[in-house]
Amino acid sequence: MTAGHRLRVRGLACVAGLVVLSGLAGCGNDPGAPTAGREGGAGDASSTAQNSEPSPSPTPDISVAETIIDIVVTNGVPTPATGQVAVPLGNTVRLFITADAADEVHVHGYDLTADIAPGGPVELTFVADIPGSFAVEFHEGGQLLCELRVE
Amino acid sequence: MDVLAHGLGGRSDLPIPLWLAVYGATAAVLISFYVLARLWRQPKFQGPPGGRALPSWLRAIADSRGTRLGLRVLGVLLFTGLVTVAWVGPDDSYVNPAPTWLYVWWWAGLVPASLLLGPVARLLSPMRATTDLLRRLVRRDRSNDALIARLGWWPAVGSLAAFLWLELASGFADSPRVVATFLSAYAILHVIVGVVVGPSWFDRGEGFEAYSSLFAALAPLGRRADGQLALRNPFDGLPRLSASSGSVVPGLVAFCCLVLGSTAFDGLTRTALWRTLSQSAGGRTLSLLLGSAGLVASVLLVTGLFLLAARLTAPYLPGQQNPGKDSVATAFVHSLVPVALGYTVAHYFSFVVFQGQAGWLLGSDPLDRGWDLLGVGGSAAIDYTVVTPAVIALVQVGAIVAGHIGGVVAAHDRAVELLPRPQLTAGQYPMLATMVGFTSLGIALLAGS
Repeated sequence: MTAGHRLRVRGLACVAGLVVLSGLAGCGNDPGAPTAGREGGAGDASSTAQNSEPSPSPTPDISVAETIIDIVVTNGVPTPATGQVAVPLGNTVRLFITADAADEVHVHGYDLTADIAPGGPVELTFVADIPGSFAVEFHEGGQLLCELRVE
Repeated sequence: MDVLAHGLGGRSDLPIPLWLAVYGATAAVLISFYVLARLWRQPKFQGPPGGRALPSWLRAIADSRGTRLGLRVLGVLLFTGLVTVAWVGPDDSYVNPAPTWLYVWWWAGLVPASLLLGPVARLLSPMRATTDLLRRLVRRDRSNDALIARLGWWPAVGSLAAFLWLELASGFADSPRVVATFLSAYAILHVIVGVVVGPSWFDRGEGFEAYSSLFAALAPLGRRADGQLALRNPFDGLPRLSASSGSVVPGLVAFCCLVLGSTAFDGLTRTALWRTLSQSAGGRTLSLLLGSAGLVASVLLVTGLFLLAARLTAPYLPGQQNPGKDSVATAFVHSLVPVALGYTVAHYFSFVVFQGQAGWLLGSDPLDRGWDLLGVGGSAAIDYTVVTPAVIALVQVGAIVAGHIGGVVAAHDRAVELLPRPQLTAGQYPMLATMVGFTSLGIALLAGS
């Protein structure tokens, strides 16, 4: 092989390698698939499920699509473990937080806050009308409780 | 626990749809080969700086002492206002506009401002203004130009790296007091050095000025060879950043790779992969270490890939007996600037559009005293409906692909100037491959969030 030919082959190999990589990069991601990390927590965690069913009400004429999220924080650790929660745009989100220490819950983007005292659950209800990815966190402790994916 | 987007706020973009990612990456690759095979064979942008001079009245206003002085005064006022609000206002970025002013209006805003108007940071720099004043007061004339030339862009690398570490890795970027402390220390340090070493320190020594001049190289407004302000082809200004024949500008490669690598790291922190990683690192100290390591690794990765491409290109250059990869790297590093621009737009677009509003809304009552300076009213909130997620996704992918095209065109023109005709096609493969790599990485980061 002449030097020129060798160089050419090297160059082509570079390009081929990176084209393959870019193909893999383009195909290898699953964008936005919500992690199912919201069930199976230890002990106190109540079962969580993403509902799109009518909210329980005595007169079920109007069916409102709801997403119910239940998080229990023990010793600063949220259960179920922090993950992404897919919320269809327009759903009503009912967020229940129970903690064993006082803190302040903050839902970013929607800019909702609620003070939490140890003991009973605090409920935050709102309509998910802004698309995007929003963090729900404790203001004092800084823990990320979950990430709402509204789309 | 990286809750913060670019050091502020809590809203992130949704990942781009898979089909858009694949189309974008494919388009980038196809266009690259088109450029390689079909674009011009004589260098277009390597001559002395050209352009069409602006009308003389406009030039007179722009170059006048009054304008320059006015801009400096404006810069000092804005900086003083920002730092005052940061020190005196409440220590909460949901109420205090100072962090938003710094990260969105200044830092992110510097990019479009420099792209349109040139080296905006230099024109406004309160540090330069203070340095000039102090030097006049102490009657200091001497400048250590030799030292400044030897240092090149390295001081800017250090300055900007400090800011980027604060914004992206520290975890406490949003605190107004931290912003105040950083800006005060930064300004004082640079003014002291500037007084001792001379005002040309700021050209490549101060992080924000250097950053601004990087994108100002792409501005349609620039100086011709005869010194007149002129309208020019953006690609005409870009090669001025780096000389083409052998002379190495110290630190320029590091600076460009810092800008690109840090933006890549910013995108990395939005991915699900990073979130999983940072969840397992509980506590602030560990998060800080993880963030720092990630930032350093991203910058090193970008640098390594680019230097590898330079080394693979070196054998194709004629005559100079295998020029060191450093001079090849410097010769081609200007082609990273459009890529970095694409990355920056992709990652900061929605941040600017949404969090930027907070700078106005909160600015109406910056010290939380119940004022309403801007007539905003009590309950105004950020309007998240000004752009839809579909538009955001298109802008993001479009920016990355456009940046890629810009980079490939710039690299091609430099290659046409440096490479001998028979080696022209093959000699461009390494740089092209690296660009495709960066673009794919950028799109993958957008798709993986």
